[in-house]
Amino acid sequence: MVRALAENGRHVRVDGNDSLVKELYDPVKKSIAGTDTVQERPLVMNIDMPATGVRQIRVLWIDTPGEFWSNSQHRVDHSSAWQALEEKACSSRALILLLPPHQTLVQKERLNNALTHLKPVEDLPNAEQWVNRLEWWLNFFAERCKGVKHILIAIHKADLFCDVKAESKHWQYRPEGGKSTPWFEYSEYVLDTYFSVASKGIRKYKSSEIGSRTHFFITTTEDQGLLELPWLFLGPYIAYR
Amino acid sequence: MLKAIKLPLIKPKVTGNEIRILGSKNAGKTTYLAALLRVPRELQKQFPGLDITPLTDDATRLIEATQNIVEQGGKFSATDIGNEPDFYFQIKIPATRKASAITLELVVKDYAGELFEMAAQPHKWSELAPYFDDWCTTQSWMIMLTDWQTNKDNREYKPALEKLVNELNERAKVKPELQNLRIAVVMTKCERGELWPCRLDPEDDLFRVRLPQTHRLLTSKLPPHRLRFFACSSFGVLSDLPGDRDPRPNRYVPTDGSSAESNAYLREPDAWKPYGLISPLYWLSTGRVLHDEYL
Repeated sequence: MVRALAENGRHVRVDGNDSLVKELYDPVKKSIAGTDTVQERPLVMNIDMPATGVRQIRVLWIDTPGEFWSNSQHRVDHSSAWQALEEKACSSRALILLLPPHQTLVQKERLNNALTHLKPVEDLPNAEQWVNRLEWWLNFFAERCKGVKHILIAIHKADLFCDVKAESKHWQYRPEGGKSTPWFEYSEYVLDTYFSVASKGIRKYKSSEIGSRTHFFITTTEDQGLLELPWLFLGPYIAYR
Repeated sequence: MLKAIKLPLIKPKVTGNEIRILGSKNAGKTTYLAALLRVPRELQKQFPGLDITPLTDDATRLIEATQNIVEQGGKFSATDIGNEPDFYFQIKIPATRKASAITLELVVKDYAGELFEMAAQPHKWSELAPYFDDWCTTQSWMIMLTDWQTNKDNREYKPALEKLVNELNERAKVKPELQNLRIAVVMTKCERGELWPCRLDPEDDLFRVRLPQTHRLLTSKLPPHRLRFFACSSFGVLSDLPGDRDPRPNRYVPTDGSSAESNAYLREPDAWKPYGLISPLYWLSTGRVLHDEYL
């Protein structure tokens, strides 16, 4: 995500970071370096605010290995690292959670037609695993992240499960058009359309205090319009304080 | 023969005041200030001479944040304890047949909801004490309450206010100017259907009915010239023009299980017309009631 925003950002740009992109991305193999340790990188982001134009925000990007989150054994085996990670997450102002799509969400033709470098590396979870995982997260947020102001949950790799061009056309940010899509409409649409398999757990979560600070998105590196939305949402809050 | 009479130039009166805003979490304190400073277009149309000018960076940034957040279908996150911004701004209210023009120059501080809730818990008093000291350096408190849960009256509001007013009265024995401290108690979010018609008589139709314990406590401890009840709505209703009345709240609450208490958003930014934002500030600053309850 960071690589895509650094290279192709429109209304959300990661500032002038050629070295950052080189670090993350091998243009020959078209592969992204995986993360195997907790890495902190300061980012400067220029975000185009709807009413007031571009504002710069400074963000500390804490990138974490996927295993910590998906594998409970990993957390046991590396307990001090896990604790440090938890603490970093809980003391953040905002968290962005990227989830892979589940098997039943993905459309076979889209998966087959995806360019090689876009095909998922590991097998996608089935719906039941996906719902369990999500509910682990919601529980984690509710119990450990009470101080976090904004929680954004996005199903990533949207190019595998929807027509990203059409969705982008509908929801993308259009500052020149005057009126932009209200965030509550977008979040509701995403919940109804893409998170429906977990609707019971989400409803319960949404009725809690932390649920009121959580918003839902779909993202993909293949479309800037959708990719930028979480940042456009978050930008004014971070710029304001 | 008519003699031309030269009228003396009357400069609008300028009244300065420092106000502390307290109240429960989710009462909408920050959103109130946002709506006030922003002066949405529909409000401006009804009161053409009304002018509200920010005088500090915090105030200007709040206006920007309102444009980028509230008007885009978002809402403010909770104010943090220890991170209270200072809003210094000027309100110019134009002259009408009933009253001359007046300018209010106000310094307003917006406090985290947790602080008000702490006042209801005796073991938290020592933590709250430094804030209370700060609140006693002014002559004006604005207490903002919303009544989403009926048990808030006896579990939170009444005990919190009882502690605050008792401490205030104690402090006033050694600091006599506190005997003139005014308290405006405001019921927020009165755009909600059942509350909207009651906004015209907030004390009797809102507080006495919906927060009876709080009402009884306050009226027993403070004389009328120091206590007044108000109703306001930062979002307002969709339309109140004669011939085009649409008293539906200009509010959207998601249907995903979210609680309305903390999840309302401005529905139609173009129709945004807050109600009753200035009246409490005016009374706190002048001791007089503003001529137009819409303001």
